[in-house]
Amino acid sequence: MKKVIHRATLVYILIGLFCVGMAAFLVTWFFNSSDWVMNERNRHIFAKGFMQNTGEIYDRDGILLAYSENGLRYYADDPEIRAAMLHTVGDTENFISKSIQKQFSSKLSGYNLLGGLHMLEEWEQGGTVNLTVSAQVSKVALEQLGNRKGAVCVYNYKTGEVLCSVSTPSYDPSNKPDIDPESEEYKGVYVNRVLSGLYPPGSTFKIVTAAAAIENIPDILTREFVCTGEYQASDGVIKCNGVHGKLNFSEALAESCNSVFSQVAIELGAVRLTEQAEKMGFNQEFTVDGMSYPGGSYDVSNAGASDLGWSGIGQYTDMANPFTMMTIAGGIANGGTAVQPRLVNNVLGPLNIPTHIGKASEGEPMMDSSTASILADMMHGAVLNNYGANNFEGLDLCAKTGTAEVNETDRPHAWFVGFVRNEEAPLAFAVVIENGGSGFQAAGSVANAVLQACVEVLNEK
Amino acid sequence: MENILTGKKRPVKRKPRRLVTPAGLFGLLTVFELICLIRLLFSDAVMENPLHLLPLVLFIGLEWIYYGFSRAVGRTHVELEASAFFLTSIGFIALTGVLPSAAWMQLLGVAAGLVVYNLVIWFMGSIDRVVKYKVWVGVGGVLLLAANLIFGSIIYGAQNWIKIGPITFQPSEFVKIAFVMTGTATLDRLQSSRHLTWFLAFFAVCMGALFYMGDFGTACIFFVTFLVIAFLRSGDWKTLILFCAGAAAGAALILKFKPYIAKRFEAWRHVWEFADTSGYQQTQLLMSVASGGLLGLGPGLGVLHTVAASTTDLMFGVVCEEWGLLLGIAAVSVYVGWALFAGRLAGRTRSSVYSIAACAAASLLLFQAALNLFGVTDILPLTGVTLPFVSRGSSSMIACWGLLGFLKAADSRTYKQGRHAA
Repeated sequence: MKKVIHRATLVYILIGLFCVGMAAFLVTWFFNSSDWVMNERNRHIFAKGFMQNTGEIYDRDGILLAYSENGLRYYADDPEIRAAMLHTVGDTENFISKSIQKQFSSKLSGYNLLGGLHMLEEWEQGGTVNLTVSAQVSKVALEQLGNRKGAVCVYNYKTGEVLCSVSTPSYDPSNKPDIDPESEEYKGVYVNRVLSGLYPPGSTFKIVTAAAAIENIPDILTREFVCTGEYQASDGVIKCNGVHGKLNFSEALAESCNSVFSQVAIELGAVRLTEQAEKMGFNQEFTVDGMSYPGGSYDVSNAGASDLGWSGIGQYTDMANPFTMMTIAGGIANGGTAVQPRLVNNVLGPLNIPTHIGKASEGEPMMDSSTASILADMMHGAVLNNYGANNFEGLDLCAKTGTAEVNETDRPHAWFVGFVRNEEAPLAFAVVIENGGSGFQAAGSVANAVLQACVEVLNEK
Repeated sequence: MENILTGKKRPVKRKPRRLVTPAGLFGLLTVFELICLIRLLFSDAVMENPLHLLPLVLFIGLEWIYYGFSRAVGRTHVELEASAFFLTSIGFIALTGVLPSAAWMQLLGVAAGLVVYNLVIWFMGSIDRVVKYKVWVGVGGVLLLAANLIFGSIIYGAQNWIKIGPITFQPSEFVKIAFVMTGTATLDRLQSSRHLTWFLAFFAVCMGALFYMGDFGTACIFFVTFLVIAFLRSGDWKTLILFCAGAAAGAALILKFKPYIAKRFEAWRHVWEFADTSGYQQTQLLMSVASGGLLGLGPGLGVLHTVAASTTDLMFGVVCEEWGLLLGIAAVSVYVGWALFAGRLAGRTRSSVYSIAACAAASLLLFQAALNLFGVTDILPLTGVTLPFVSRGSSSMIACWGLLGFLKAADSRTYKQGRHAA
């Protein structure tokens, strides 16, 4: 009999193995169940790969942007708002990867380990995402862009709330047209250009060069420069957009003088310029509400003297992202350190229990506060002396344009980056219009209309 | 009683009180079932036709009839039956939510299972009877397998079904009972490795037949059960390791020379890459289990029941999706409990035949549960065996109750007549 007691060990070994197997499953379940639920094959949420059944998305003023009913997905009532918010909200097919619907899919469904999708399945109650973005402002931005491709983004540099984020080309997700993503009309339609776009920054990069110069060259503000229409570097020539004659550094920024800025860039050298560009976000990767976006790229490791000069005026191999350029403007406005932008105000789970609350958080310092203040004044000077303050009525605007050359044949990309100095409406923005031509002519009026709409929305509160 | 010398009362030795009386245990079970029944009242299937609840009501009635019978024949303990009824009811309730029309057959299976359960208990009641009929049991098992090979038809890839009129059944399920019985009965009363020949021959026939039918899952179950019986009889670790090594070599040879069998397991540990083909069932199950969370979506609100074999092989997923992973875990823990019970009984039975039978039956149920659970959750390759007591299927249900009979027979309290519970 004792032998049998001893031999029953085998049964205990089997029990042990069984428990190990069960533990393995439960651990896998614990760590992966959210992915399993969000798999496009899960028929609780997806139908034929389309995300149909999930929670609601609202704009900052409570305008319903997306909801599900009887297992089908619907979007805002206003067709223009639908198209304007498309890239922020996302599409039913989940083609747009940098979108709230894709990024917050799990929270939108109201999924949790305890109840699974019970609230969604039995009570049609998923999660709710409340955005910081204003649908009305975005609608204005879409109207302004018209059929031009580009991106517009605006945020409150004190709180980090993104008020406007629009990418074109766009379409109405409720009446989706026949789209050939290769066609000229819809090229890159599923790309959220605000977060994923990368363009040569052109003269908007002079903000970076100026910051580096103010921090590193003590007498930069008192120096006198001469622009003869070009700057002769040791190995090449950098052409200017005009012949500016005698001018100081502030005037050089206002005139966007290539001669002066390429000269200063070469004087600063690759190391200091790269250091400043990286402090301001270039060559870095950021996230907004979990979605990654590039800080742009600045690489002069193989550049000769004239290449370095070109890089200092935003050409050469420089690349910039609209969202990052907006954040740089916000950083200057906020005394050298940017409040990180955010698109989501809060996320509520079933029974309106908050599962995520957006908070303002500051990034790494971009520059000294004194540098920021000088730079702000210089950018304000550009508006006063070059762009015209009357084009931006009521806005104490500090800004820089950019006309980024693309190639010999295509029109250049138009940039406009800056901020409003106003405690009531602390707005920083970036506008980019692909092949829009001259920076100010193309993007200036877009920026003005969108900023005015933002001020209106902020004043309503 | 007073001590004459000290005048102190001698402490009265009390029997350890049970946590729950047998009636209380069945009461608790009924409360659980009634809660589920109320939840089912709000399901689409029952709202459409309230008669769909009738099998469940009859099932609860059957439990209490069994309870009455159990008391009438003087059995004082019902934990084993209560836990089996708990498992059965989980399957029954989940089935009512998704495929109520199948509940009648399931009810029939439970009723027949209870009869077989008591037949096994009665048969095992006399060790002489067991020894006397061991050959016939073995022959019966072989005949069942032979019938399977001759009349069997292929359903879901394995030729383990027999059709007689409207009734289909799986003889290989019943062979499990014969297998455990033969394995232990050939033992005689001596702890020797003699007389093993009979059992070995029977084992070889079973394995051969199962492989021929393509039922690899059941073949694995028979192999593990064989290992348990062989080890409990011989106590020889070397033999155990030798058998395992032989099996591994055999499996490797089969996979090498029959690549189409290996293809059946291609999705193992890669189910998401084969999510639309050979990993379909597993991925559907994982998504459903995740969607259900710990508490479940509610009856009829799942989607897994639309997948093929959902109420048989994938029943664990249906339970988890609609009634919650917690209930799934509760169900699974019952198999562990039985195996612990069998392990603890070892050495306490009047003959080691009972210990070995109980350990073999409990191991068989545990291993079959493991093959099912870990197969569908992609921990092990998917072999397509049912989850004991929970999956739909009368043959399986009857066989499971029959196997449970060996555990009951090993419990020395089972055959004590005429005593009443405290």
